[in-house]
Amino acid sequence: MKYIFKRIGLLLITMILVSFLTFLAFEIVSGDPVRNMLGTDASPAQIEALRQELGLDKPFLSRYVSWLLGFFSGDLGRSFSYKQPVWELISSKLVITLALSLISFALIILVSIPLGVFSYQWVGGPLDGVRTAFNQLCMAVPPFFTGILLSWTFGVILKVFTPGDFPGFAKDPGGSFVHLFFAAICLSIPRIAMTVRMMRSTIVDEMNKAYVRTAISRGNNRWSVLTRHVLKNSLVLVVTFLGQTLAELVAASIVVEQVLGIPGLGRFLVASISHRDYPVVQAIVVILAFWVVLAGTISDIVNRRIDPRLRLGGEDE
Amino acid sequence: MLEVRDLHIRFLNRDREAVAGISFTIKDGEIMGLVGESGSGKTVTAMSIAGLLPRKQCEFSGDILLNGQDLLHAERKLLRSMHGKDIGVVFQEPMSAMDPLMKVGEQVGEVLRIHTDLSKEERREKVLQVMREVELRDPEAVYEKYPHELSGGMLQRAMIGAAIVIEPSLLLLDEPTTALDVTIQAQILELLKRLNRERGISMLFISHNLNVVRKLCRRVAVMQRGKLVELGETEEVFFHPLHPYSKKLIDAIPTRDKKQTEP
Ligand SMILES: Nc1ncnc2c1ncn2[C@@H]1O[C@H](COP(=O)(O)OP(=O)(O)OP(=O)(O)O)[C@@H](O)[C@H]1O
Ligand SMILES: [Mg+2]
Repeated sequence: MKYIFKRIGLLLITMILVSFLTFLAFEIVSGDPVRNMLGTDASPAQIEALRQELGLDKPFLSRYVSWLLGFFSGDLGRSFSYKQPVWELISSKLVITLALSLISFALIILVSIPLGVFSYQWVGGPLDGVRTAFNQLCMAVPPFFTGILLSWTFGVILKVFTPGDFPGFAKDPGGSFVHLFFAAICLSIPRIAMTVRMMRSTIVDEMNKAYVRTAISRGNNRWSVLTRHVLKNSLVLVVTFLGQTLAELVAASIVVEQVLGIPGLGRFLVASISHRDYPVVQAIVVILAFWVVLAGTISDIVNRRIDPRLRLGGEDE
Repeated sequence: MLEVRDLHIRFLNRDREAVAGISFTIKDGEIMGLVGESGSGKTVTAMSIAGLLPRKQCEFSGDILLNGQDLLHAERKLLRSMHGKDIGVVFQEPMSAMDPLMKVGEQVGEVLRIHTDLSKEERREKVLQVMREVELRDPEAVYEKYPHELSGGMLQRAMIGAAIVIEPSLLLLDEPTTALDVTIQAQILELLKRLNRERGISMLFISHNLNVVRKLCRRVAVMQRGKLVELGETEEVFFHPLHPYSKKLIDAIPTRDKKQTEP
């Protein structure tokens, strides 16, 4: 219980801090949203009127506080450019980006954990060098490049999906899924390679520990040493790593969304920044921060389930 | 009965042999001591008997026969079927020798899981029984604990329990009490003595403390730089050491203790 409260507190502090910093960043960075909206030939009176309408005439701190109060009462404000509530604008895009991240994450887990174990079995074998080279290659290939490659082969030649024309979940859930699946492949390849590499080295380290010798002395074969003892012990590090991956995925999806024409949060964020649509940017940044802390919390909770030593420190479980 | 004949082991990355031609026998129901300073080859000897030698990393020759069955050159599969069932091992550091993420009870019952077809409940019953036998208080609670929740002494009792739960013909104890404080050490020695008396399990007890060995073992082998420099009745070696090295080991023992036990 205490642990949960601590985590929620951390979440709140992070979000307040992040939102304040973005607010501050926009205050410092040049570029006036009002001039942006009205164009260069607007009269000073028009500009002043719009500033008042948007509340930009008030001092920085009072603007921030009223934003924060609105945020906690569920009001993310109104977009400057679209004159619509921010939540209405971003909720459908948020769903797309979340779906993309979760599909990628599922791919990463489903592929890299078996592959990590498999890759350990190769240690010292004749193909180990080939494996290492392939792993390096996968780690180095940037998602946008895979994105271009996949849109070309599967989109242009094989016509499995149409890059740039995302059907939307309401219209065509299957097609949308295929579209997101290809984006997820681009996102996950380098991360799968990293996870496999780190799993393999963790397993190698664990295999040298004393409890492995005990396990062998009791008659465990290599496979059951691995599955009954070593794998679980390796998992703590892997889960932490996967938590970081989950946190990064949303940010990483921005680039892939651009390449494959997916109308997610990432694309919208980039557009909103260039339009100086502060309320939208602010909301997206806070959601990203929330996501990052949430990912950390999840990996923490999973690790506490795996490793009883992490439950020490008077917190109940 | 265990017979070791002219055992040689050399690690490929070393010039000197870790074990340089040793021979000894442990009769059924006997506890034999093996003493020697650090690096003399005690652990390597025990590991080769247990079939835990990293074979790819060393050259070896000689014979290790347990009830006539060759262990040194045995196939991996055969060794696995004997691990835990015919030979039990207890290591020096109970904390690191246990899997930190597995309940102590499950670890004690692991040998049963591997070598018998007992059901989960039957295994649990056996584990609780062996825990009582090694004098672990409140076995039901200990069963559910993780290694970090128990003291070193309790863990070592659990390790001994895990090694004898299926009644092996030989128990190898590699400095099982070195990491424990003196009172606990004495209790563990008593426990081993009782197990030997009641169950008749043969043991090889390794220590670098001749005084400890004397409390437990009728016979002792003294090892130095891979060789046995002395082998015989413990009291004989203790009071009439033939080799200057054994003398050195005995001289290190507090004299008060020596006088008390002088006949
Ligand atoms: N895996 C290994 N590779 C190379 N050399 C090894 C290996 N294991 C042991 N040795 C060497 O073999 C010799 C005997 O070591 P061993 O561990 O048997 O000594 P010990 O008598 O058990 O000492 P201690 O009292 O410190 O446990 C040492 O010189 C050691 O360095
Ligand atoms: Mg040793």
